[in-house]
Amino acid sequence: MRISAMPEEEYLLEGNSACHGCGSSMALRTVLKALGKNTVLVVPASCTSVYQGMYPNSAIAVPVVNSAFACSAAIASGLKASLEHKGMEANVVVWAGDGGTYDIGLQALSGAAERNEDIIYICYNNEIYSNTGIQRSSATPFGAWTTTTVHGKREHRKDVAELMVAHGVPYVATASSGHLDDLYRKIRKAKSIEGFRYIEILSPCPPGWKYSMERTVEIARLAVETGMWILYEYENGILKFTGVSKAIADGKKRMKDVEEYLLLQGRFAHLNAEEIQEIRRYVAEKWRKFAGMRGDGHVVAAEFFV
Amino acid sequence: MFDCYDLFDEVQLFYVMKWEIRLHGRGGQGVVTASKIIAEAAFAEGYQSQSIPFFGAERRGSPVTAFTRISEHEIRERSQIYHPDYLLILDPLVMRTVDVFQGLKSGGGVVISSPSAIERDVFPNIELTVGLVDGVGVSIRNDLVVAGNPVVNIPAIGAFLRIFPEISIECVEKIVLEKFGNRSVRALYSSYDETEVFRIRGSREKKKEERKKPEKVWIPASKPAKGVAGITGYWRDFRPVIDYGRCTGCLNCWIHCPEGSISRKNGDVEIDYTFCKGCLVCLAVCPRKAISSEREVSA
Ligand code: SF4
Ligand code: SF4
Ligand code: SF4
Repeated sequence: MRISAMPEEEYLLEGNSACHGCGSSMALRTVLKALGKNTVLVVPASCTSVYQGMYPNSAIAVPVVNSAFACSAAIASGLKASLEHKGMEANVVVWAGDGGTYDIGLQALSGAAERNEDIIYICYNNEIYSNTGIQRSSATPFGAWTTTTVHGKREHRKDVAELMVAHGVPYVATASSGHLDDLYRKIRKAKSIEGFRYIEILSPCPPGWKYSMERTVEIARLAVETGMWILYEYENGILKFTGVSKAIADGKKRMKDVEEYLLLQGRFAHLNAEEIQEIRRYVAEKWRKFAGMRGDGHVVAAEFFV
Repeated sequence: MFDCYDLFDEVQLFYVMKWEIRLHGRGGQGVVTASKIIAEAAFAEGYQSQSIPFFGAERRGSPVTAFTRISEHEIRERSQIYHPDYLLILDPLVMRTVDVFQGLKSGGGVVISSPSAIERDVFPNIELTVGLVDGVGVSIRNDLVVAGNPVVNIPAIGAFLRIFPEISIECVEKIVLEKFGNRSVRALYSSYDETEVFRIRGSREKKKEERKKPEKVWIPASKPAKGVAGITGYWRDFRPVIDYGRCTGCLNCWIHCPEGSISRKNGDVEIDYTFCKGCLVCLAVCPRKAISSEREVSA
């Protein structure tokens, strides 16, 4: 995908109140370019619901319905039904954070997935409740500092993308703010598919992850290069790795050590060797599991485990 | 036997010194931390004190307020501060979007962190003591740029101590050293030394409230607009500058700018400085190193 082929139109307008270097607004810009004008967003409480601005103005140039935390997937289902009833074609898309997806919105999400509603659900995952000042969510990784896990979180994160694969919906993909071309392609593909589609984007958050704001892209890429975040697509019952993750799985690229990713972020600064080892173990286990699920060929031995 | 009515026998009348301080800045500048440090230092000096952050959505860059109360006696109020004795303005640009002087008492004190002098017509028409310091400059000189943001709260405290003699700098030093280490202590002292203190009576005219005209009200749907958070170009500490001699038009900066502040009309990329927040993501992703950063000085 050439960058110049992406549309010039902007649907996330300048001068919004997202932080400097925000990984979620970076991703949302690309997502809206891929979705185009004929789109309705459902946005539950989140950073986006704040940085979109207040009445009478909106920083988002497509219609947005702001929903309560727990019900975004239900509202999107209803919206889609109503548009269909009126004979109108539009992409109905939920844009929710990990708090609104992993925790508070999970039942509505699972319900909409099970009913195979014709909507796209996008989770921008910054691994915290950033909007309320950095509290842990169930997407927060092991060891990460948040204001409610001051000595580092003791549990590993849950994985909702995997949970959506288990729901057997038509399309699931993971993406990252560091690979916008890959993200663009996946959104375009999702747009062309009917039924329930789930896409989860790892979106670094400079104040929440405690790193210097210009490094958002670098950190998002390191997450993939160290195997902490796996890029894949699940379609018609088949799971395929994509991009850098595919290169790693095919043995064409060596997986970097997780430390390269962890050391750049203040939220992991307190980790000791034992805890870092625990993260390594988790990554290796995750890869082993995904290798077993891979549907488009074998994974080259266990070479990617550093 | 003890009778609670005995308590009424002795009616005490006493006067208490109490100071109320309001801090203004932008998210990420450590406004709330500054409020806490001042409260802690006052407590260590033997006063009662409290620090209250303004409750709102947490967002780097947007205006932030915090409050500190210091008193010789127990403090019972839990409210925000509406009539401060002192103001700390950590970023001069906040004055453009927030009426920072609201409720400030005559005879009060103002700390402003600014690289340049402040015009008389910025201050309200009351007697004021001003402590002026280039907080960003102090921070840069003392190597206190953290995660791309110059730390300006410590320099602002240094300046505050010059106009607020109730707290000694040694007392603040202890707290700053313990929390933030040596570099911050150096910044505290250099700001204390560099602060220019003067008295001023401002000349700002009170804005006349314009009467609003009646409008027709439809279903309240928001309309797309740029600048929902104001002129976010004011958030910049560093300005990205494109060297067109090196630029190949690869568009990496364009697609990665979180703000959408880079346009690509006629094949050339161009930065819109009205809204560019200065995150420098564009600089980090440019494969040709065609983007450099310059300190922003246009206050
Ligand atoms: S807190 Fe994080 S996710 Fe929220 S606007 Fe700021 S950078 Fe973006
Ligand atoms: S510094 Fe660069 S990437 Fe950041 S807002 Fe400005 S133009 Fe965009
Ligand atoms: S990333 Fe650098 S080389 Fe590419 S268009 Fe931007 S300034 Fe030019």
